[in-house]
Amino acid sequence: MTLHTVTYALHIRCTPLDVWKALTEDAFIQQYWGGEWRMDSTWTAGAPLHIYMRDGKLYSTGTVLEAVPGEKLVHTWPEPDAPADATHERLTWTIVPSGHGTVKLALLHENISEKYAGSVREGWTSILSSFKSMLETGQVLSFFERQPQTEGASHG
Amino acid sequence: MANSRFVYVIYIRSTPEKLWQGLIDPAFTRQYWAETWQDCAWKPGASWKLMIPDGRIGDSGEVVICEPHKKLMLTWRNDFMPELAAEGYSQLTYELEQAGESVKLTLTHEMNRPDSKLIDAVSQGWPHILSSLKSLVETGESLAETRKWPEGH
Repeated sequence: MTLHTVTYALHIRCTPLDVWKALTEDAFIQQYWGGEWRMDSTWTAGAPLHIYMRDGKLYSTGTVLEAVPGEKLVHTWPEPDAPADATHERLTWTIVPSGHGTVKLALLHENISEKYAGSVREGWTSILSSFKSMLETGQVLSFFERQPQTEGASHG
Repeated sequence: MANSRFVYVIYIRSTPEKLWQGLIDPAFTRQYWAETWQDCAWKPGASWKLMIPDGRIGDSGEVVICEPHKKLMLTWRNDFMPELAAEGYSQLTYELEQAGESVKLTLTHEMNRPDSKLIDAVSQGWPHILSSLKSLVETGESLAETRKWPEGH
């Protein structure tokens, strides 16, 4: 089976620690993921990373492989019920200051199965564009904002 | 086919009209694209030049497709770095699509040769330039390090 790799990079006007917080703190994760995913971890090397879906159910538990605040974060993102010997998806985030109050954030996402490769490639461009807007303007891009909850409206 | 190809997608809170202006208007490009500006009539067949602030031509080519607010395709040859100039013409395409209250900007820079040094060079530059364009459009300020032509280049 061919596994795919997706890379993306962008430059953000903020500090390396701002990027780190946005990658690891729930309040930020919920914003730029539009509530699609939530993550819970101590974000230290070897720690478990619990990945939750929109409805609050556990999707899978990955592992933090490397964690250097403000510099580098490596973690897995396993598929649910993956066999013990499976090659898990792995994300490597690299944060490099570029001098003038700007940082370069680079993502290397490896071991993506064929069926997810296209949507992962497409997805990161919008998620990380929104991530940059959140850090620079305080607002995520509007298509990720949650639908307003209308009180008393019937759903369903 | 042994092509060299770089594709970059970025979403910018803007309208296609405003972003189009950001891509071609010297008043904008000078702020996020190292003081450069484009000398072009912006219609199919028109010549296109990317002007370096000291008066040199950085890159040149011609307009292939110009559909305002939607699609722009240029031929593109580097003119100021001999090693890249020797590779001849590449092709640059910008596509703009409304996506909610944002615009999805897709840039494709490609050349009909394997392992193009030009495509390798621009693949480092475009994310920085387009990140700065996004900052300029969304916050009114480009990224500081993209505002000046690098000294000695």
